[in-house]
Amino acid sequence: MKILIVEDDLVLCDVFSTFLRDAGHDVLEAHDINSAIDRLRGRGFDLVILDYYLPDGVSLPVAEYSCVVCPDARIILLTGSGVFPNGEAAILAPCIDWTLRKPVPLEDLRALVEYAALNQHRAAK
Amino acid sequence: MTRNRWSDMLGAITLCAIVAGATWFMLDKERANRLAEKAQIETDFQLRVLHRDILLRVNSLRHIASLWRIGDFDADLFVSEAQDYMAQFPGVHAVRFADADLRLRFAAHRGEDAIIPFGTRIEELGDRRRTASRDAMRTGKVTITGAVDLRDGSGRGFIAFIPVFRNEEFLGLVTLAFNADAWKQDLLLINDHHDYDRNFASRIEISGATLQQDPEFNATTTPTINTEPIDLFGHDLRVQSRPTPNFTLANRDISPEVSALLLGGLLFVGYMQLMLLLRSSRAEARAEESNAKLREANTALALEVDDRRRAEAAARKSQNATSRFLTTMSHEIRTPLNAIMGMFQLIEAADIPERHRKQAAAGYASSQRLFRGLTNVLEVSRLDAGALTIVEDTALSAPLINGWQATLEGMVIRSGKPLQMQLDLGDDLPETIRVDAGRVTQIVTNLLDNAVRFTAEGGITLSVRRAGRGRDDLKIQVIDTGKGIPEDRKHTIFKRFYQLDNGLARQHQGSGLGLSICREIARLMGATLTHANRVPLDVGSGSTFTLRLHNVAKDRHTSTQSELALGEVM
Repeated sequence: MKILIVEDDLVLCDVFSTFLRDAGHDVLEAHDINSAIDRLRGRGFDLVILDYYLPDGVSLPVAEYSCVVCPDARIILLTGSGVFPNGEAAILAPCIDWTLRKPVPLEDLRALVEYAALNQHRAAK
Repeated sequence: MTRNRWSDMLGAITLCAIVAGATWFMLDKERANRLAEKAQIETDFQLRVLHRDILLRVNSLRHIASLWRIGDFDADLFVSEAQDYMAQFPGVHAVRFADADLRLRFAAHRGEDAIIPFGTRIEELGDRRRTASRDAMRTGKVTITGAVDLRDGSGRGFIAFIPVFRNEEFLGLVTLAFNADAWKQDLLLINDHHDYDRNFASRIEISGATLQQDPEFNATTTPTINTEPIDLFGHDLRVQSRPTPNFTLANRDISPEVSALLLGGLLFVGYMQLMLLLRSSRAEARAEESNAKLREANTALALEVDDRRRAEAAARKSQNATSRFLTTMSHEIRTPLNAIMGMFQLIEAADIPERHRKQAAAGYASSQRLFRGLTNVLEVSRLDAGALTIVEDTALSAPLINGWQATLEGMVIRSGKPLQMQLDLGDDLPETIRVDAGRVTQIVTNLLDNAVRFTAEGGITLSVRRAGRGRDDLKIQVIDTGKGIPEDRKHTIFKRFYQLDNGLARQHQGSGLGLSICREIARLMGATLTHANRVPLDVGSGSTFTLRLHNVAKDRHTSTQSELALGEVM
């Protein structure tokens, strides 16, 4: 599976990418909105893991761009603070598929990624 | 103030009375003048009427006199003509004829008998008659005697002498005896002038001697009205009259009184109006003054309110700042923690010696504990700063409960303990509830987390039911089969920084903030969070935590059973 990780904390980004690469996925990294959009352009990602707060702003535009460029890509939003505490995510950010709150245990992440992969295979078939 | 007003009023009344009195005085004078004038006019008119009448009668008699001028003397003719004449003029008492020697020859009477024998000389009858008859004879003009007593004793009157000439030869005199009383009565009747008699007591004078006088003339005390004398065959005819009360009554005129009263009243009303105006303007001024004071006070109040509002806004701002700070802190802490935990997990999963793997696992567990502790501290700070807000909204109950169930499952799986899970749901759960779903979930998650952590074996039951008298409350219970809480320590579990005992604390480390936070959040929502040990009441029988949400289940639609995984057992 082709995964884009957008996370400004380099260590955490490294942890996630190492973990997912070990799990056999093709992983690309981005650390801010601009580089994320650069990466998204022209490449068909299957999954985008997106941190909410990035150095150059909130990452929702990236999610929207992703929806346009790679409509097949599922999006996991990671938040440190409790954004959308009352479940308004579906209304305010309709292109987000799942929201995970940091800290994200690696097994949880793996479970979700595998779930996404399963759905994608099903869709591909 | 009151006395002032009364004296004001008294002054006003006096002023009005004076003005009204003066007005009445002037108007009364004018009225008296008017009355006198009117009486004068009436009297003058009366005089003229008398004068005219006398002239008319005398001149009419001339016609009889002319009979002698043209034809021979004829007694019968004279008498019949005279009778006719008298019938026409009732005031005439007798018509006689005297010859050239002024001896009476024949006569026509009103009475039965001839009072004066024929052949009597006129001169013998009285001075006035003699003078008048001689004058008539000498001058050839009509003369009258003036006022005399009539021979028949019927009252006062006068005699007119009309000389008869034929070709410069004096033939004799026609005499006309006039009874003034009868004449006047008759005259008044003829002229249809009754009122005069009633309104005036009058006296008729000829050359200063009374011809006729009303009986009441002397009794009447009103001022006498004199006419200018008018010439009657060389004599002065004049009328004196005194207005009777009848006249005053007939010409009653109360306009002076009415005018005076009206003027006084108007003046008074005007004065009162003026006073009222003055007073109202004074009151207005006073009101304006107090208004100004009020406005001042208002302004001061508005300023104060403004200050308060600003202070409040500042407080809210600082509260917002605290909230933002805590949120940021939470975010700042979570990201590196996530990195640390991930690293430990990666190391744990790597191909390394068992000793290192254990160290990595310990590091992971510590970082987890650190995270939980930090979260609780941040949450407590938020509670203390008042930055924790409750946002009530309508939430679907089924997904909420399913979410809790999934959380519990995840926890149990992650803990690796052999725990049974049970979901116990009421039959009539509402479709929607009005709560802050995030906060309720936070409490339930915390309770579930506690239950999983402090239960070594057995099972955990999550129960959701309606409760309360109106079935409007929602009762959420987390029941475990853990150690339970000793009776003597029950009251401390919701306090901050407290854990049951050191041994257990070492086993299940935490800052002891979780339950206190839960209870405070519950209080903020108006809910209650309580704990009870399962009977029998000894350690080991398990705990039951009950979160009771008040008046949230107003919705009478119940969730369909298919939406909820009922009593699922793992």
